Amino acid sequence: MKRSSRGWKLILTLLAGVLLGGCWDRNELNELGIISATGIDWADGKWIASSQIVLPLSTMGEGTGKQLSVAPVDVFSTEGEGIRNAFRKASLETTRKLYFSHNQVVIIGESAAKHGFDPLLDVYLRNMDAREDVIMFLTSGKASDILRQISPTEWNPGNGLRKLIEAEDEQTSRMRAMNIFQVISELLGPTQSTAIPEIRLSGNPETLSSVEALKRSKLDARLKLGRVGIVKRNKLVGWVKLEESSGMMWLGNHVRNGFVPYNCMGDNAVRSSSFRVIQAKTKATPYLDGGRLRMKVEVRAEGAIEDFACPDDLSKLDVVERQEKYVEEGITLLMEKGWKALKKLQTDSVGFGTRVYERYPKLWAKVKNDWDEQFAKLDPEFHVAVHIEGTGSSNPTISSYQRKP
Amino acid sequence: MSGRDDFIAAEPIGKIQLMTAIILFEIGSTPMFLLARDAGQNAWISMAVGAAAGTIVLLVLLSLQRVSGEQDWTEMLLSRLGKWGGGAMAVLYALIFAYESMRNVRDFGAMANGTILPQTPMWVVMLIISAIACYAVAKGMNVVFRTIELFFPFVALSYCTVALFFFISDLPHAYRLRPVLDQGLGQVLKHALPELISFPYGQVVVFLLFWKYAKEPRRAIRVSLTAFGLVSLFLTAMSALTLSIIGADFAKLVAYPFLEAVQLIHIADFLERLDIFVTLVIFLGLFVKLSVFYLASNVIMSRLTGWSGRTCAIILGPLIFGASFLEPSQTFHIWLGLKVQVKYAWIYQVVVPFLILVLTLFAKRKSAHRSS
Repeated sequence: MKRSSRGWKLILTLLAGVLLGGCWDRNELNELGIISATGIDWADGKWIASSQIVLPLSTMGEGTGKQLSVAPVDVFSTEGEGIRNAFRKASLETTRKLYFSHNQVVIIGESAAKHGFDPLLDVYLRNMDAREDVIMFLTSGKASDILRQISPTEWNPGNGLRKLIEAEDEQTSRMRAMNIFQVISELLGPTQSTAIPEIRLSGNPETLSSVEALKRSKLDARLKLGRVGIVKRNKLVGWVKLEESSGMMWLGNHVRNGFVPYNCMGDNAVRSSSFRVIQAKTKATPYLDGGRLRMKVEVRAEGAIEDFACPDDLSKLDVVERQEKYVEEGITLLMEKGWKALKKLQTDSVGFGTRVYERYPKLWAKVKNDWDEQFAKLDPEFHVAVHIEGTGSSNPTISSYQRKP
Repeated sequence: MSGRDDFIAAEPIGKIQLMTAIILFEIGSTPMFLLARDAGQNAWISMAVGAAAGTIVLLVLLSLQRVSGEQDWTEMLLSRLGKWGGGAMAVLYALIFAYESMRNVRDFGAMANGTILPQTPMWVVMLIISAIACYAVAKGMNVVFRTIELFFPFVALSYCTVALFFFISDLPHAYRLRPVLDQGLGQVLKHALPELISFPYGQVVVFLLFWKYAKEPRRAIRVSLTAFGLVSLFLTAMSALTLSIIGADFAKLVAYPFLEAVQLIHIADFLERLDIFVTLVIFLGLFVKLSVFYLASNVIMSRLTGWSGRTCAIILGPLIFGASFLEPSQTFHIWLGLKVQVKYAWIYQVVVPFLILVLTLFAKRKSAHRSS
């Protein structure tokens, strides 16, 4: 009795293991087309979906030094009336099952962005295999052009783009790396607006599409970050320049590390000196000034001077204090630029509306419907406090030393 | 009509077993959903309110157990409502618990289908899990409790690790929980009661079947309260944590908010896609819930019919599995859960035991009068 039941138990356990282990759901690696970047465009009433598939034969590691004779990625573009539909049509051209789980980046072309890209966001939310931490980019022109570029330092261009924007966000903080989750959160939030960075081609685009490009050391064309697109209620409403985006980062408390160009003479002429930010915090507080809503923006920043173009002696405390003031003016200038750009576009992508909602919920319920106009009338006041921790390893500047008798 | 006690529980249930059982049972699959999410960013306060109400319910149940002495729920019903009334009520409870077990089987299958095994037919997964539960329940109460005790360290460790990862990835932000109580306590209360008692707090009524078999009845009371308190803290904290990561608006949109939060974890470029890991832990919770409900139904049936626990398990198992096909679609399943069960379950969880408590107190007073 015991022996036969033990045999049964073994068989049943193995069967359960096979079934639950996913043999029914197996995905063979060589049947998968692993997608590392996707793009969306809109033309003539249809969505054009582009997918960049990584070809595994070429992914032999980054430092092999072998000359690649085959391009490491392949790009398909297909069109359809719905987004998921458009992607599925790619199966007409490819032998592999499209696997989106490793998708790092999605690029939205200007036409699609202006039309409204909420169907894309919906697709991401609804499907389990599409992760919400995919980084989003906008581009003027077509997304498929961006996808066709090969970057020499990364065999996986999607990954490369992701690292590009993450490095920018963390180290220079002029624009934020936006993933789908953050975009959706901000579009759902009280202000219903957000800002998404732009990726663009600089130089001669012809060169980057061929493998020949990898054989040269100086490229004629590069993928680079450019402006920042402001999005209101799922549609692109305008572009802001890099400096304006920098200001917006300060306004929205998104600066982690970065630098502030400022003028060490304090006359706002040429901003040839630079202050490196180590820590920064911005607090935006709404307050009522006789019934009128106003915003107080307080910034505290700590850092060090990394580039100094004046003859002053930085070892003196009063000089450093003066420099702190100039840096404060530099930051205020950036914020004013950012504020002006947003005011012109009448879009609150720095979260001021959210602050109002948090502090005055009842007032927010009244103003939220025409917040865009209210926002433009806010007239914020900026209070910046900078603390210079250090001035670098050398002092004074070379030229000022040479001038000494 | 005292059934075969030794067949139901060969040895008494230890303190730790009782504690881990209550904790894992109450946790179940709850962290996966954000309960009371219509309360927005205050959902965690609703959870706290629900927990407080649940504790009161637990106290009622525990005092019922205390005054009833060495009786489990079936025996209580039989002594208070008589052979036929009590019997009918007990059968009703057996069916309700079997239904609850079936719900968890269905949830298990649906979740497996939706997350990790999309192409395996749902009935295969449900069959396997029902068979495993049947095996455990057929072996007896002690086996089930021991299994749950074994699961506990893994589940506890997993949740702690996930929470740690959340903080390392710098994901929770307190500002998402603001403004706190912007629409007043009323809004929070509206979404907390009675829904949160029906699921998950009031489901602890199941333990009325098991407290009799615990080692020391007085200790059991203290252990149960401690366990319940811990679980309440945990569930409230998880709710607040999830909300502080993804925000109230996002939470209302998606089916599994906790899963979305876990998908955002990125550490050192290699710790990503931990949602599978968390799904596993939820599976364990679901299994504990379905086994406990199944066991409860089994105990009732065994006591009523006098058959051994093993026989009843073999009858109930296929019944539970088969019943899972009665629901035509996943939408129906969710509708039944949200619109029907959650609105009325508290009746069988709270009202009936309370009535029995009152009846028991009356009966005791009567017999005290008679003896004096």
